Amino acid sequence: MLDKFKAKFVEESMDNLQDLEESLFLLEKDLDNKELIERIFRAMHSLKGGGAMFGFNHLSDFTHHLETIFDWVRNNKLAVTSDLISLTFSAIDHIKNLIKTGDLTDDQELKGHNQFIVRLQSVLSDSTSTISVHSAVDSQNINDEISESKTYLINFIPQEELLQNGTNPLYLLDDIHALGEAISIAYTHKVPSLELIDITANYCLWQILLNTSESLNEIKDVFIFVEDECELHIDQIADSNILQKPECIEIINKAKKGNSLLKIEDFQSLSQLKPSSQELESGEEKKKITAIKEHKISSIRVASHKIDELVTLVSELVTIQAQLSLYSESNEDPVIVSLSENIQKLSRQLRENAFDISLIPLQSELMRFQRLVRDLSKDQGKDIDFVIEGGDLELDKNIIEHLTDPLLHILRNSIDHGIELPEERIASGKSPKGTILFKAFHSGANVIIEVSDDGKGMDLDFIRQKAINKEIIDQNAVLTDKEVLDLLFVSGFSTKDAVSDVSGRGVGMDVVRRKIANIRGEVSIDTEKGKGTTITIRLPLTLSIIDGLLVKVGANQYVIPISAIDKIHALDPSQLKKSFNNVVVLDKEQIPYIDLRNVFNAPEVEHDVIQMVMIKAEDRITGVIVDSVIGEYQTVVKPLGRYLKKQEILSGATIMGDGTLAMVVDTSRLLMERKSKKVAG
Amino acid sequence: MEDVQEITLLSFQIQEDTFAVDALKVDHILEVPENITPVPNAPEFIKGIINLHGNIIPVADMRIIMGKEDITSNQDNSIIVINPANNQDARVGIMVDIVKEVIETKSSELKETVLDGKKGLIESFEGTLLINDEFIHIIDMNNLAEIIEK
Repeated sequence: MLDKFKAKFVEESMDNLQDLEESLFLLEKDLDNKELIERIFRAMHSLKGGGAMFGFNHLSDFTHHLETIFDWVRNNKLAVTSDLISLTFSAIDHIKNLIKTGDLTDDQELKGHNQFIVRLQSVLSDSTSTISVHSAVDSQNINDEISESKTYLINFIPQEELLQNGTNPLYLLDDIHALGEAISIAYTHKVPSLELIDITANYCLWQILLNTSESLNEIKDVFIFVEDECELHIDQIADSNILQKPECIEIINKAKKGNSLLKIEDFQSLSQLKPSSQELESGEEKKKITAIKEHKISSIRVASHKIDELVTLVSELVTIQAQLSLYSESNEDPVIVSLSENIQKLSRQLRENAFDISLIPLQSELMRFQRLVRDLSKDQGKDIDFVIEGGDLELDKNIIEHLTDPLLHILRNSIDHGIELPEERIASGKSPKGTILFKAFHSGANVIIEVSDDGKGMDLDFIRQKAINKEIIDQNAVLTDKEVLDLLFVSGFSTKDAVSDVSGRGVGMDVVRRKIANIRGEVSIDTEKGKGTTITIRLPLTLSIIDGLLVKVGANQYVIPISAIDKIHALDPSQLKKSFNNVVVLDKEQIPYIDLRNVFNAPEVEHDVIQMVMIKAEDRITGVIVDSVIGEYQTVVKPLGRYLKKQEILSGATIMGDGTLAMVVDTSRLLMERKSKKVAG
Repeated sequence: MEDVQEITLLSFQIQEDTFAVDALKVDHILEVPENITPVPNAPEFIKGIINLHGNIIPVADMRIIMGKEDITSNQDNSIIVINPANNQDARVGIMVDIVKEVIETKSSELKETVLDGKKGLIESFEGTLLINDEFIHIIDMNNLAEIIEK
């Protein structure tokens, strides 16, 4: 049970961290943005509170120190510097680690952890000197603030169970003290005699007199995690600082001695506040709280496997629905026909809805990329501007999951080998600041992601030479620029030591292509020496539904994705006979072709007319010969599973309306297989 | 003392031999459908793929995997859908001559399988059981899955 909550906490913390990182990035650009600082503080606060609650003590402790720093920042006691932001970034990494592993047990790690805390603390102690200067300058402001400040009486009466959730009430008091000048009074009169004490229970209650310029909301936020476990009253007792007034001190001392709670009336003589205005404020307060609660319901968190299940069920429904319409067509019962049409309409809407649910914005992953660019460029002394366009584009969550690693790899390549050092850039007449542009956009049924840099580009001759040395191509092979770049994708072409130093790029591009191919995507490279490199990833919108052309080869039906098809040609058999080396001449153009019957080991049957499906891939047209073309068909693609992984040309199978199966042809694989044969000679 | 576990097995026959698999890892037992869709370029023992409640399941012919030469089909032939790794992706149907029965036994009853002069592709068995003068060889499902995956 607890594990479940823990998992939830981890998940939520990751969200918080993401929010934190996002805010930090924005803060880096706008160092004085109060709102962001507030957001950062809040995220840290949630982490701290949650950490303590779920037994992540190191996390909670660590975040407490971090929070203190941002509390100072929030109160203008500390200025935001880029050093501070860098420190916070590495602190976030540490927090991530703490969330993943829980409390540290390894001595070495623990030592690092403690050192980090010391580092955090030193930020505060180092800055005291600067603060005094700061405060001298700002003394006028501070005075202004004080005159605006109000004094509140906080009654904090926790229930006995408070401690069981891991809440430490003393932290809460710390937080309150951080808001301004405060005097807290602990009442212990409820503590029972020793033999009756339940050591897990809390018997204390507190009253705090707080003078602060923060809003009532800020004070309430401190108690946000314990709202349900305590009785909380916050009342304004004066609209100025009365804590130092002798009358006030006397009242407080009296309360401490007598263990009798302070009442608002006690302070009435000290303030000129009218009770009616208080009423008003608390009324507004309530409205705000309900607004927050209503806001919360507008989105819910759903386990991703439930969404997977929904999508699977909907896919199944689409299949069954196709069977139903097939049946209704053959039985001309008007009732069934109209029912079937209605179900078809509904299931289409349902399908669109379900797929929409499984889409998540790319934004969620971009933070990691920004982080990578920032950290790597700092490490290597490069100045890189990372520009993101189209971050709000939504993609199937499965696609995004598979996309992250390849994209990280591509970005790393761009930073490591693409963008030059500032001096080099100036020497070659470029601006010292490099740019990496990350662009995502829709194009037909595809999503295109482009990562381009204005770095030094790739050296085609070098790549060619390398391929010859590695005996991937023949010494005399004539290759177009595009074909040379394709060599980067041949597995075993690039090894880190061989390529990274000299030519620049392409490290592990074969892995990138394989991973992208797993989600039915394609990768291509464009480069110009000295000007930069662009890597383009083309992806299907969703993993599971495609528009396809149903064809027949031998006894089997196959689906070719329509997105890959240029057009369909009917050929005279003699046109093939005359051609050698599998090239057919159409409109005076030589077009290479693949006979699917050979690829799939189906008998070659003589036809009066040969159907050739023209497939467009990477600017080249290739003909694919099939026995017959049946028609257009929207298909729910199902994976073939791990046992048929070796069938690379087939990306899946689909269930037809009549329950039979058709296999989906992966056209880029088909063409690649052909090409690799050519390359190998 | 050795740990004794209750085990439940599903036995089936492939010509003269009786084999069994862990019944808890059996998802379905099906009749052989009329239309198994052959997969081009797949290994010989892959009969093809079938549609099981909207999912694609590959079917392997156990008779070929066990090295039998005669693979004529009859109407008793069945497909046992097993799920060795307990996830959707790992499901596979194995085609057998005839499904026999469910056997409840204890792990202590198992004896080591004699593999000398074995035929077929399977390399490891979980043991052999002797019931009514009949030897029942218990197939190591993970090994079977590995073979099909290769």
